[in-house]
Amino acid sequence: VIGLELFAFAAALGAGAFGALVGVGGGLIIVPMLSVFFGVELHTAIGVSLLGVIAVSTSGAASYLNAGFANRRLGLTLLVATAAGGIGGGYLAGLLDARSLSGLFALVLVLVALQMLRARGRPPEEVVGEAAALDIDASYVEPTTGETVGYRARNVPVALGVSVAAGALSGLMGIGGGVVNVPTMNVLMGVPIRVATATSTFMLGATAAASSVLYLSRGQIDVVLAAVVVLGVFVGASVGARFSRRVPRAWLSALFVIVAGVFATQMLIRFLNG
Amino acid sequence: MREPVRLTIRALRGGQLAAAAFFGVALVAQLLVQEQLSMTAATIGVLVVIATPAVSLLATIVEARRTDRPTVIAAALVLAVLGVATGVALIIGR
Repeated sequence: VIGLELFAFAAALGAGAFGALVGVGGGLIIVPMLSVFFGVELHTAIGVSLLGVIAVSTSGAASYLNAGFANRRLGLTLLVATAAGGIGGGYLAGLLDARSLSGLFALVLVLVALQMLRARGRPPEEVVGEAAALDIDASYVEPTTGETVGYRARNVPVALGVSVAAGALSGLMGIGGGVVNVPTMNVLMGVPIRVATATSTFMLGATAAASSVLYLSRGQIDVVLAAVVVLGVFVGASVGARFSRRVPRAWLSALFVIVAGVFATQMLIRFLNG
Repeated sequence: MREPVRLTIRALRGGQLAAAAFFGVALVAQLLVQEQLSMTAATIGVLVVIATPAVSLLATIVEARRTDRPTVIAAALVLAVLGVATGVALIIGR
């Protein structure tokens, strides 16, 4: 048991660092890691992963708010929709079997990997003109250049609709919803990628908290395993957020695509084998 | 001008430290084969982790109440949704 916990700690540490760097929470790594490699029942793996996602958010958001990267108003606006979606997803997961969840998880992993592959190297979009009623104007200091970058978060109503789906995905599969949040903010709303990942990290905690209480009430959280995973994630996410400004984004995207592909294959095999 | 975030950051870091302390006690107790203490400390740690986002939202409401009304309204709405989630969970738990 101690050996398993040591491996889980090390894996959670990596998941926390990676999750905080790319704003995805780490659930995409924690759930397959616990269920495929450590044989933890899938619903329990999802419940523990949700706690890991909150831990990534708690650690990363503090650093990103301090650095001025996370846009709190934007994050909270989208969170209203995401947290509501999280309740629906968490409830739905109790009605689905492990095989269906495995298949769904594999499908989402493939879609996310393809999306990130397409987005690699794309320059940030310039926003000009008058701000619409719900648009949010803000700025941040880009650490690689020292330049103050102004941006406008637009298409807020559409983004709110997408955020409901992101929240449902989180509750359904124990992921933070960042895989939807980051592309929504970056591509749909025109928010710089650094702000999108930081704001997504800030959002993940409340989204996952909305779902995790449901898993806790169903007895689907192994609290001792959660202790190991959350401690690993705390350490990893703090390191990941601290070093995020030094790591080239293209490398992270490439790494994410590889990891998502490997785990998608594992989950697909589990789905096909029943 | 940057928005005030100090209290929110304190809430997040406070929750992180408290949860880490309880989880640390849980793992040490498990190594010492103190199953009951381990379970209790780990359960409290889990509750602290789940509560931390809500506490940070309260901190946001307090520190942004005079300078950023839209942020305060959004934070209050998110808190309300989290309250609904907890209510649903308690009903299911019965």
